[in-house]
Amino acid sequence: MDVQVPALLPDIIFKILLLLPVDALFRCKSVCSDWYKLITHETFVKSHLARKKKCLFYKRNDVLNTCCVNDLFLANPMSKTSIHYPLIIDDFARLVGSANGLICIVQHEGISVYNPTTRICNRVAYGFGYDSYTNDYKVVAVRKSNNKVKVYSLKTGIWTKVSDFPDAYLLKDGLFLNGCIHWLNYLPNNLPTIISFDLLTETYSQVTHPRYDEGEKWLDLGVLGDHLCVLSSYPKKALTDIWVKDGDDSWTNSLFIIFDESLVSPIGPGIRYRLRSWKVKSRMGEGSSSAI
Amino acid sequence: MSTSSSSSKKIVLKSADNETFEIDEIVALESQAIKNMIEDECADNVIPLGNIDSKTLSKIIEYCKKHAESPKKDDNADIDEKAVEDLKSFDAEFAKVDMPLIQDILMAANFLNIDNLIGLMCRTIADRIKGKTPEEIRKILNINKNDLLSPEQEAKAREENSWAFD
Repeated sequence: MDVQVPALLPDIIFKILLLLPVDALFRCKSVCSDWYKLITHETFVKSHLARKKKCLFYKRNDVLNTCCVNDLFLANPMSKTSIHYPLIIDDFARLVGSANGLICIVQHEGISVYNPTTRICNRVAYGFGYDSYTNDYKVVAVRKSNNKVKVYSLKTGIWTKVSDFPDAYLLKDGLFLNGCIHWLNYLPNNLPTIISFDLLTETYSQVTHPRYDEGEKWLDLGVLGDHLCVLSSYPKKALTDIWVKDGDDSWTNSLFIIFDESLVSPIGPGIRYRLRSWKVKSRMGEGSSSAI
Repeated sequence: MSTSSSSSKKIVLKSADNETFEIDEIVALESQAIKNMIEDECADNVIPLGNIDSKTLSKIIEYCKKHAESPKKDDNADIDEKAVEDLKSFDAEFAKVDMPLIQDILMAANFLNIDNLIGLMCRTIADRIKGKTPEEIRKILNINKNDLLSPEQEAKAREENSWAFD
């Protein structure tokens, strides 16, 4: 087609795009940079949102559902659809509320603000600990995207920003030990790194891993006595090694746990145990077993 | 070109390629821009439309005639359902033209400020690009490739919405 068509005016394009469903809009973002700017602009987002039907979000049988509010008045209001959500929804998960199509969920992994339409999930992982030097208790909040990190001081009652935090993808709340909060940082395609955040200096550092066995494994952090430990679980061997940090870069693996595979359910990169089934064995002495 | 009812006032429109169209004033009033001109008495015998060619203008007049003849929604509450259906199928038929003409009609309708027609053309374009890839949309709307996304924008758009490209 060689017909020369004059370019459509921006306000016309605005009107056309306003008529499109969200999935089509995402493809339209890649059409040209003018369209990208228009679609991501606040004015457009608000106008598009204003056209949406009101929806109700609810949690039932560990699944998040949405239902059009108007449909509730129909004879058969079961026009619900389950919505895609990146984390496991369990009994603990609580739907705090929804606004403008975003939903806020509190669960073990932290607080998430999730957009079911764009599937963008903003998660906040927390850490809590005591800073003995200033005699202060602090809460650390890490937001997944943009790595926005803030520290709340109980003494001052003020949230302050922390710059200089690494790219973080934290799935669980942090673990406090000796003035530092520790997280496993799940960067894509890699073994998670261990991040340590010092509550006094409010700076982070990376902890060197122990020498794990080869093979597929899940990691988890724990505290044993006054020491940080990493639980590395090998689902194929039905075994969890407990690595205890006893120096700057030194780890020892004297304990391990044998678990019954049938009692383990993988939830993302972690393992959930039924505590009573744990059998902790020592690699040092005789095969003495003890309960934790 | 003239219309049947000879008693009413006539308006003459002149296209960019100098073709004249004589229409009833009531048809011309579908255009808010022409209506304003008439009300402000700045319309002479002939209204020149230097940016609209005769092909586009005749389509627009066809649309305005049909809509001027149809009973308006706010005329009475129990509007004839058949008339509504009739207008709907007219609109659907009307929009079955190729994309360059749709864009021309849209630009002209925007200039003449004919709200319903702008809406119809926007919906038509939206329907045609709905399930398409960015490349296909560029082709359909003949969008200049000088304005493509920067590699960073492109990567960001894809990363955020990988599921939308499935």
